[in-house]
Parts: sequence; structure tokens; C-alpha cells
Amino acid sequence: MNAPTNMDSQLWDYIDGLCPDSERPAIEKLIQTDPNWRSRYLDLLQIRELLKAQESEVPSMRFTKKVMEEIAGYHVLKATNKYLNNKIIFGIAAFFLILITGMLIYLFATTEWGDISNAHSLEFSNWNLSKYISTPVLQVIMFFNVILGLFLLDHYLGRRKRQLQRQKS
Amino acid sequence: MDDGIPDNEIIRRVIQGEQNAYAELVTRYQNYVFTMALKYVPRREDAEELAQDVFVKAYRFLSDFKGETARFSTWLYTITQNTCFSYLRKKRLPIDSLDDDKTRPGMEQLEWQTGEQRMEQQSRQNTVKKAMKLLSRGDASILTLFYNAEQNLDEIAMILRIDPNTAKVRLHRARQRLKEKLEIHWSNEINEMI
Repeated sequence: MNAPTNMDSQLWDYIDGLCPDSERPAIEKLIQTDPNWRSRYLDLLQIRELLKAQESEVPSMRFTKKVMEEIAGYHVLKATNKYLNNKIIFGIAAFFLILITGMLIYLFATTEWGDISNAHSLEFSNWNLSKYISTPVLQVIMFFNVILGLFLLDHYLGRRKRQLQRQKS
Repeated sequence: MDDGIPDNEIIRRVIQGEQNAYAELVTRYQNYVFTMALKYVPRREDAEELAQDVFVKAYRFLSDFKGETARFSTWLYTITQNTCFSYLRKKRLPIDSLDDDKTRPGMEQLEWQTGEQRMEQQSRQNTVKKAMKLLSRGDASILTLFYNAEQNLDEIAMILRIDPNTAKVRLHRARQRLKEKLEIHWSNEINEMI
């Protein structure tokens, strides 16, 4: 069952010009020397010719006129990328940069640097985390993490499966 | 398709305000857009309405077409594909996956009810046309895009929003399925044909 499918696949690619140039001489040789390949090649070539010769469907005679009547009420919209003016983007970026720089300058200017030496004296041991993180909260966080983990695993496995299918074919 | 004035030149003129020039693009591509639409909806009236929608949308968003990265036909078929899917969703009709080997509902029966008497008179092309109707929408579309609309695998991938390798696999499957349909349903004709 595999052999004809593989033969078909190679022959289709050869006929449609999709096979690499390096494979073409080998396929040509098979077509010339192997009667099975030759017969299959002629079959597929015939189907391809029929496919290429398929006439497209024709809409009604008034089609173009109807479209032109319809578009008469419209005009071509501005390109989407023109809405995104670079000057505006740079302006917004500059605004935030100035804001952050200003805040930093203010922070540095108002900091009493002498007090920094006492910073190590902060008593971390006095912090009572259990006041903020109760068991139900922890459970919710854990549950959320498990769901997220499963979602990511599913995404990863799905992508791998698709890759394997692609390689097989 | 590229007879006469190039598509990009017409597009430039339309964007500059020469609305009448658009008629040339409609005339050039109406058959293929209509054929594509017919793969999704069986009624010619609906397909024509869809094709009309496609050309109106294409006109309105013509400025978004980037001639240097794609052909106009590829861009137009992408709009066709999206418009057809939106229509099917709106009408709550089944959108069969491109991988499905399901025959479009009713088509097979329709073919067999009327097929026997007509078969003898059918030309080779009609036989293939009938076999195409037995394929899923996805298979029929990809074959039409590749063999009739002259879209290469990269362009098909762009239209269907898939990887070029996947496009190649789907094209191969579609050809195989077409061949199977031809062999199963019209083996006598095929023997005469080949």
C-alpha cells in the first residue's frame, strides 16, 4: 500500500514541478525504465491535464456592472498602516521616557542619601506573610498554575504532533 | 491574467480616484472568485453575492494591498476565503476542516440520482468536475487554487494561512482523494479516458 502512494507522491511532485532538481533525473529514469512507473505517470499526467483544463464558473453577465454600482457609494479607505503615524508612536515613547526620567530625577533629588546606610536594619523577620497569603489563596494559585501547566503541555504536544505529521508526509 | 495593463498599475489608478478602472480588475478575476465561492455555497445566487462582497471589500481596502510582497490575485483569494468562512459562520453552516474527507452533504446523492443516465454523454472534463464536487470544500479549493488560479504553494499557504509544507501535504491529499473518487465512481470512464 505504501509503495504506490509514495510513487504517486513522487510522480505528482515531478509532474507539478515541485520535486527538487536533484530528484528529477532519478524519477525520469524510473519513468523510462519501469513500466509501472510509466503507466502511473501517464495516468496522473492525464488527470493533471484534465484538472488544468477545468473551466472556471462564470457569474451572470451583469456581474461587473453590479459590482461597479455597489462600489459607487464607497471610496477607497486610507491604508491601515497610515493610521499608525510614526510621529505619534515616537511622541508617545518620548512622553513616557520623559515621565520616567523626571520621576527618577525627582527620586534621586529628594532621597536623603545618609539614611541608606541604615537600610540593612530592616527587620524582615517581622513580616507576617500568612496575613496576606491564606491556604485558599495558595490553593487557587496552585490550581491556576496546574491549569496553565496543562495548557502549555497540550500546546507543546500538539505542536510536536503536527511537526511529526509534517515530517512523515 | 496579466494581459494588458498590469494589475498594480490599475490599482494605482483606482487608489488615485479613477474608480472606473476597477472594472478591469473585476472582469479579470470574477470567474475565479466566483468559482472559489461556489466551492463553499452550492447556490449560484449565493456564490455571486459572496463574490460581489469580495470585490466591494477589496475595493474599499485596496490601499492595504502591498504589490511588492504579493500578487493581487493572492490577496483577492485571501479575501474570498475569509468572506466565505464568515458567511458560513453567519449562516451557521458547517465549515468542514481542510483535513476532512467529508463529502459535502447532499452532493453525492445528487450525483447518483442523476448520474447514471447522463454518464455516457459526459465529457472528460465533466467527469473531473463531478469528482471535484464530491470532494470536501478544502480539497476542492486547494486544487482550484493550484491548477486553475495558478497560485503556487507559498501563495496558497498565504491564502489559507498555513505553512507551505502543510499546503503541499494538503494538495497531495486532495489530488489523491480526487483520484480515488474518479476510480471509485467513474472507473469505466477513467479506463476509457486513460
